[in-house]
Amino acid sequence: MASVQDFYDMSREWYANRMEEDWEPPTPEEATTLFARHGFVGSFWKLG
Amino acid sequence: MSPFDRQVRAQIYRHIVASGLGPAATQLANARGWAPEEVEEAMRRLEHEHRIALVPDEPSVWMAHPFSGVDTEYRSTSNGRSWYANCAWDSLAILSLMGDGQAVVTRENDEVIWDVRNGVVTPGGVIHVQVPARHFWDDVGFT
Repeated sequence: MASVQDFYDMSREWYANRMEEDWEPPTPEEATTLFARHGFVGSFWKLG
Repeated sequence: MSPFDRQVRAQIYRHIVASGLGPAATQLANARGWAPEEVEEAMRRLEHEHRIALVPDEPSVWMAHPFSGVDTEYRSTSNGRSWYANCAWDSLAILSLMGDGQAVVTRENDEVIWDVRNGVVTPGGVIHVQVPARHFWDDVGFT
C-alpha cells in the first residue's frame, strides 16, 4: 500500500520512455532500485 | 526484442494513444503495410515476453501498460482525450505520460476521481496492491 502521489511519482520514472521503440525493460536490480527511490521497498516490490 | 517486434510494440502504443483502444493485428498491419501474420507472430512474442497482454484467443491487444486496450472501470482523461487503464495505479500512470488531467474509477455505487495538476495528485489516498511485484505477470488480468 502506498499513497497515490507516490504511485504517480514512481510511474513518471517507471513509464518514462515506455512507448519508445528503443525502450528496454529494466533489469530486476534496476527495477528494485527505481521502486526504492520512491519508497516502494521490501520483498513485496522485489522482482526476479 | 527483435527490431520488428520493437516496431510493432511502438505501433501498438501509437494506436492506443490515438484511438483509446487496443489494436488488432490487422489494424497494425494495415497502418504500416506489414503482413498480418507476421504482426500476429510478433504480438505473441511480445506477450510471451510480458511486454503486452493479448485478449484471450484473439490477436488483439488487451493491455499495453499502463493502457488497457479494452474498456474498464478506470478512465484517464487529459487535454480532451481519454484512455482506459488496467487499475488505479495505471490510471495515474497514464496521466504521468499524457499530461495533467483526471483519473476516474467508476464502480456500481461509487466513483473515485483524482485530479493531477502540475504533478500533484488530489485528493490524497492510498492504493493497495495485492500481488507482489515478482508475481505481477502470473495472472496479469487478476493483478
